[in-house]
Amino acid sequence: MSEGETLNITRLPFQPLPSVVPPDSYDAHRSKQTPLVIDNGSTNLRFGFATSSTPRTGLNVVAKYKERRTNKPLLLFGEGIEAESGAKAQAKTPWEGDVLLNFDALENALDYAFIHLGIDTPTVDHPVIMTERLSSPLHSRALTSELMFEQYAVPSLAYCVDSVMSFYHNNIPSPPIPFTSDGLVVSFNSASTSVIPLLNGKGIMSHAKRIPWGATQATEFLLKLVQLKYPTFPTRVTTAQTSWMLQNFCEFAIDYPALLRELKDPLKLRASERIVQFPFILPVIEEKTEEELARIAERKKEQGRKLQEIAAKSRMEKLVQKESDLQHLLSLRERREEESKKDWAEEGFENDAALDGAIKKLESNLKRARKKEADGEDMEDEPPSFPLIDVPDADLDEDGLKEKKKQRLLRAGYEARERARKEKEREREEREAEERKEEEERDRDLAGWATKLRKEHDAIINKIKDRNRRKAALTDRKSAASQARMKSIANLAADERVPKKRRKNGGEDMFGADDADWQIYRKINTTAPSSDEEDDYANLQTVEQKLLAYDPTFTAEHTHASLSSQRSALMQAFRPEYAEGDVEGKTRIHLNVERWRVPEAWFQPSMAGVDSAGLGEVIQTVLARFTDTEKGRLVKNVFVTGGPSQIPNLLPRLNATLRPILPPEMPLDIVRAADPVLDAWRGMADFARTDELKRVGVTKAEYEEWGGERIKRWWGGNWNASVPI
Amino acid sequence: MPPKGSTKRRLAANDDGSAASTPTLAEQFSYLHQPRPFKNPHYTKNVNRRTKNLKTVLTQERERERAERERIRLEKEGNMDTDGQAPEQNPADDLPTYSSIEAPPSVLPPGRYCDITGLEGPYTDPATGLRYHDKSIYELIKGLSATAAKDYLAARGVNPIVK
Repeated sequence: MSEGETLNITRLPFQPLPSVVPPDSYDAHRSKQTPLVIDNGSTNLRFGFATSSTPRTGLNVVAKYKERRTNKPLLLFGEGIEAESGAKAQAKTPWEGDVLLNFDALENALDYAFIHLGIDTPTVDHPVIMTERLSSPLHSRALTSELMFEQYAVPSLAYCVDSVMSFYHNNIPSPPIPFTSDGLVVSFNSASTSVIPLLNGKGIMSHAKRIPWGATQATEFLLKLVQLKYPTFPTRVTTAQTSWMLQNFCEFAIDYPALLRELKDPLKLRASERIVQFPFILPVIEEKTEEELARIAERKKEQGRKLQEIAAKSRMEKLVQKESDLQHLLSLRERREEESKKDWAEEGFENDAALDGAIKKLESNLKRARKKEADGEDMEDEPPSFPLIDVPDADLDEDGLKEKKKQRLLRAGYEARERARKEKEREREEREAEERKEEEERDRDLAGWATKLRKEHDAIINKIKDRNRRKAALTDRKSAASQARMKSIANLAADERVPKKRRKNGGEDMFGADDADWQIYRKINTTAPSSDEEDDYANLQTVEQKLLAYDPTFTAEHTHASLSSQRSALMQAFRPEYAEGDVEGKTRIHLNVERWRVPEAWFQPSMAGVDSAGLGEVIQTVLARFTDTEKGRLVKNVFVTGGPSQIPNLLPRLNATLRPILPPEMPLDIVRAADPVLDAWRGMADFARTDELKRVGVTKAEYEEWGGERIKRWWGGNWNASVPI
Repeated sequence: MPPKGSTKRRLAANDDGSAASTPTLAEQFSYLHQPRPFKNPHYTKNVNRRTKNLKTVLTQERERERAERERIRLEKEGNMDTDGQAPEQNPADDLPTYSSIEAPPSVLPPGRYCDITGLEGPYTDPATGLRYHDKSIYELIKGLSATAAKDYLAARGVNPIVK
């Protein structure tokens, strides 16, 4: 991370608490039968009267929550759920992807809508036009109709497809010209993307196609990628935050393979990144001032001194105790003559020899202890005398023999210790001589010495690498090393050195006699770490230390540790690493390739694991079912609508995808809705203001006759379970 | 559902005197106790309204669509002329349903992208099956744990069989 560059850091936006919006006044529409327009979207619910220019919107979620403190039940809708943090867990949406499933939630959502429109009549006395998904499942439609007609008693209800109405709004003819535009509508919804052809102002629903990839799937994909890239990220990334990242940083790539080839270069990768800074808490470091540090050091020294004093005191006490014991025993010896045997047994000594032995031990202990107190250093062992060793066996009695054996052992031990000491001294002298030699060499010719050591360093590193490679090769069953190992095992098992005859007669196996035989175990046993490895690492350490100390050109970067943990420039650009204590850096997310990778899934859903054709292919399939003239009419007006269509670069990308599959002389024109989010509602409102609404809606009487599933087939509605008007 | 028109608006602190007189933000948002006169008090919760699972709904749709198609086919066969001139119309032309509208699987060859970086991924690691961009990424893959490798594969939609 270089400080000189300006990094593209954006902080996560702070979500303010929502504000309460008061309901509208109903007076404008009382008893006027103004049509009610409801755009029932998977993400947002948009509702309003047909005479308004904009709808009221709210997130299409409902939460029934019981506040724990006051024990009051709450019913919250849309952004109101943000006001109560506990309610978010209870939030339910009527939609599951593209299918309307939860009707309690829908009922509560519609209640909210009607309350906020101010309706206070016993029934909702307005003709209603509502959206449904392309070829919506009949179950959803039946229950919605039931809800509207039975619960709210609307006079009539019409269903339409949102994207077609958005198209209508953007291509609205001035009356009395009827609506006969042609076009190919590409609708980007929350959970799907659909392609619907329109000819002569009529939607051809049987030729429409739907891709199961939409904004929610894209958000999940981005979240998965971020989690894989940052497995140890300190805070949890929520779906709302990911969706904010998707909307603000992602864009379509006009030519995806070319873009990838460009991003291969780590510099370009770095240049393309956007950084999102998540909130973090700086740890409070207790800075101890100078005097505090001094005080703490003083306290530690005091403690040390006190401990020493205590130890000295206890030693003195023990010494005194020993002296008194000695006195007691000496007096005992003097009284030996005077006392009888009975009293002796009390003291616990069997005979003179035991008493003398105890006295001698105590005396020697005392002498040593006193000397230690006085000198404070180790004493030189006086060479102890072994008088009995030289006396021949014959002269000694039983006790004497035992004594002699003991003395011989003692002497052997003493001599061994002497030898060991001399060896150590010799080694020390040798090492010093070597170091001195090296220093001289160093002083003479620094460069030469450095190159010699460096060669050693490289040799050790190579050996380590070789060993690692061999270990890796052994795990692979088919490698040469592994097969050689199997061969040696097989040879051992066969063991042809013992001829068959002798084996049958129980001949001995001469395996271990030759020392070289045991080497074979090192080759076979792959799991045991060989001591060579440790030796190599130890040597490496010493060599590196010497080089670091004396060679100015050998820096910490050249050591084996840093070489092996080095990350390539590409990886560093892809996911920059921050130092351990950098809390701010560790809560950053760098988006570079993901900015284009996620929207690319619209055109290649297989990138994200969805087994479906992409947008380009689907458009091609849809167009293939029309004749050439019809195709020409369709592509002259390709219309893109829906919230996700606001991701940048969509139109150039569509152009680049469609142009190659069409004949070159066919004009191709791609257009985005003026307001991709609200135009569907506006189109429905426009339509509701005309007379046509009366013809296409299902009245209450018709509902009671047909049930909830049947609708009338018209240019803007679905075709499944429909009857022609 | 009992009629809600009779309950008062909940701004008056008449329940417990110790509670705050101004309602909290959440309570202001809550419309649980607001009157809903437009609801029909005689409408009982239909048993059909029990929230069904997405899978059951879709299978139900498919069954019905198949039954419809059978019926239409039988009808057409019944109405066929003796010399079999009735045109064979694809029922899907007239009856688009939720499942028939779904896009077909892709026929284009899938692109090979690196699972770790997202760049081109021409090489595949035989041990885990991950695609990678170059040597340095391969070093990284060698150091991944089994769960991490499985997570990367799951992002691509490949779910390896649990051995």
